[in-house]
Amino acid sequence: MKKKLVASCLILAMSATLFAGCGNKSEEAGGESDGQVTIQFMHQQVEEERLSVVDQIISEFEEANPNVKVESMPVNEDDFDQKITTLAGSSELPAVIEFSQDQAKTSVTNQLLDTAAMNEVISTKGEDAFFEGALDVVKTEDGADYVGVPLCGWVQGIWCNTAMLESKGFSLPESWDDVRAIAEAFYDPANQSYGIALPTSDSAFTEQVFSQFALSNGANVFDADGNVTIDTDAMKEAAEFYKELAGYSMPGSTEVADVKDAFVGQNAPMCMYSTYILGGCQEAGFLEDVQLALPTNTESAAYGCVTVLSISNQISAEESEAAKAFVSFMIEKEHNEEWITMAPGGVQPVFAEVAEDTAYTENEAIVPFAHLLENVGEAFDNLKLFGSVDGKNFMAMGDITNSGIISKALNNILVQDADIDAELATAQTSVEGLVK
Amino acid sequence: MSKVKKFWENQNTFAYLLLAPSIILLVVLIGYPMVYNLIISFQDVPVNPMMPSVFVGISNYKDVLADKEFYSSVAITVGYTFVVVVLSTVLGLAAACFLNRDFKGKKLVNALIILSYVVPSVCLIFCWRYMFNNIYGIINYFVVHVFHLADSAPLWFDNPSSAFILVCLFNIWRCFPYAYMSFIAIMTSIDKSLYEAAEIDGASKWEKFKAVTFPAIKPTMVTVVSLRMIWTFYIYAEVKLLTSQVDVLGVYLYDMAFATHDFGKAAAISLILFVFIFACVMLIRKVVLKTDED
Repeated sequence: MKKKLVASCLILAMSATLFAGCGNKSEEAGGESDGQVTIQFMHQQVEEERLSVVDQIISEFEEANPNVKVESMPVNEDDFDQKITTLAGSSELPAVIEFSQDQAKTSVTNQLLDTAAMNEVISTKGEDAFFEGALDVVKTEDGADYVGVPLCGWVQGIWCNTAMLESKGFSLPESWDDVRAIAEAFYDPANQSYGIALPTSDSAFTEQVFSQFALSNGANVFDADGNVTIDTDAMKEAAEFYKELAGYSMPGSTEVADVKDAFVGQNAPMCMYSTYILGGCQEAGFLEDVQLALPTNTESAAYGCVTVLSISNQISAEESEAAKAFVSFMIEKEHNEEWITMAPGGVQPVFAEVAEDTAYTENEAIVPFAHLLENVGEAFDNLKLFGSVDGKNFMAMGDITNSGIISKALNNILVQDADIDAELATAQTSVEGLVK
Repeated sequence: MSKVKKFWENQNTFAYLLLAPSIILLVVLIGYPMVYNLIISFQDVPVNPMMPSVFVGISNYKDVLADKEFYSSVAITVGYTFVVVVLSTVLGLAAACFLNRDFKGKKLVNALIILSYVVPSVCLIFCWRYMFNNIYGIINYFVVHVFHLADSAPLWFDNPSSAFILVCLFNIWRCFPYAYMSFIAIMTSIDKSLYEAAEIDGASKWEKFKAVTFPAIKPTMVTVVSLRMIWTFYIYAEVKLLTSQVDVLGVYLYDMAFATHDFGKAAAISLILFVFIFACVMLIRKVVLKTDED
């Protein structure tokens, strides 16, 4: 009897301990205690050096707002979408989230964001403070709301090693024909020399790069009425040109690392990449030879990604106020400069007041990139994206990119040597099914 | 008072009381997700939990069963699972038989064998990708420049056939140490006198294996095969990170749940797979148990 009593007490104690762990988390995060509001900030800055900058900005904010505590929640880029989906599914989305424009569009489509709160932050700052191109791409489909508050961004184009180009008598390419001629002249795979480094894998990167060639030929995924326009002559021309160029690139399915390695290793005089390649060029010692060109056929097309801070609608009114205060703080000039100089050259400002500020342009980390700032800035103000037509951003584009329909078709065309007409027709049908 | 006394004296009640925390845990952690999964397989579920789910009957099941890609994934996965489970088990067993003796450096050999199992799979995947890289991979260096077997580097992970073979090889290499460890643990516990008796009877090595070793390791083999089959059937990361040309069910399921956010259909797929894999495991157990009875 006595033994049984002891055993029962032990079981009771174990159970109590076990279930105590399943308690309410309101005091851990996302809650209020003693008048202090705690919010979570989910971001993609997982590297130690960048994390310390994020922590520094957060501590500055907490000093200025003693009643708000911000918890940093770094999540690896590869796990980000899955984390968002699972957190949203359990109504646990953090108050402030660092999104790319596509991720933010998907979240708005799923009604996970508080557009009114973000509109308020932007109107308080003033729409004129943002680069027009950066603000345009984060508008909702009806143009009435924003999917996030632009924080910074990067642009993508044809990065050229001008010293290599000059060695064979070329200047910066201004048309598709120029790009083709340069690629052909440098292609010598036996000596590990390639004409241009392009992505061809089944990945979002391949879709992004291809989009620039398609848009420079007047092809887009939607027309102004929202009809899917993948299976068109303009798109086919772009796919044919991309396939031709891929023939001067490295063999097989190439990804981010392959493209970067080939350009930074000077195995190719041109590559399609974002501004994030500049750090590698600087380390390799030829940054001063690097220039940006844009794919141009019927028009020029710069691809870019605007990083936004979005506010969740799964939080309380007090947390929403704290989130607005935090986002507003993040886009103040001096704090925005702190954020941008985390990855010099890679991350670009989206505010004129930052881009023109001597504290930024004369920052010792930024000075080596000075010869590129004007070109990059111009590209930023003239972004063209799949799904953005006549100032209208189709929200379904986020889902289309996530589904991998376009990147799969491109990989089949470029690597598996599939028929272009058949792949475009399949992609058209699949996207129509998805949009429906 | 007598009721309380009766309660304490009842052995069954007391046993259930002791088991209660574990039962509650099982219900919460396994039972609830399974029931919830069953429910959402009949619904169109939005990402936002504040939006209502729509009951769609069996349309998720109908959509899945009408999808050609599903059958293609099932065929690839069944083939992949069969190859990996059989070869990793046979290799593990062969290694265990060969190394079940005393020799110098046995600990080092054991450590080297289990290395591929204990190193994080992401590290191994990137090592393999570098080895087979089209431009600077060491395998292509030997194939093209040393042995002149091809004029240009084969696109190992872009060709569906070679990609399938490579992901199979990768997982056999990665998983066979598990079978090896399981078998060697049992083999070292087999009474040596059984082998001596068989030897006196003039049994060959194969006969000794059939009469002594195999009956001893059979229960372990069932467990190893069952577990490996379940793990391999649902494999995702290793295949996804190595190639985009081998669409196993794990990849198909993940894309459905997280790329297209179609949770209802993903739940329907997981239930169909659960029934399939459950039937396979039961079949294996039944066949082995029947053989035992015979």
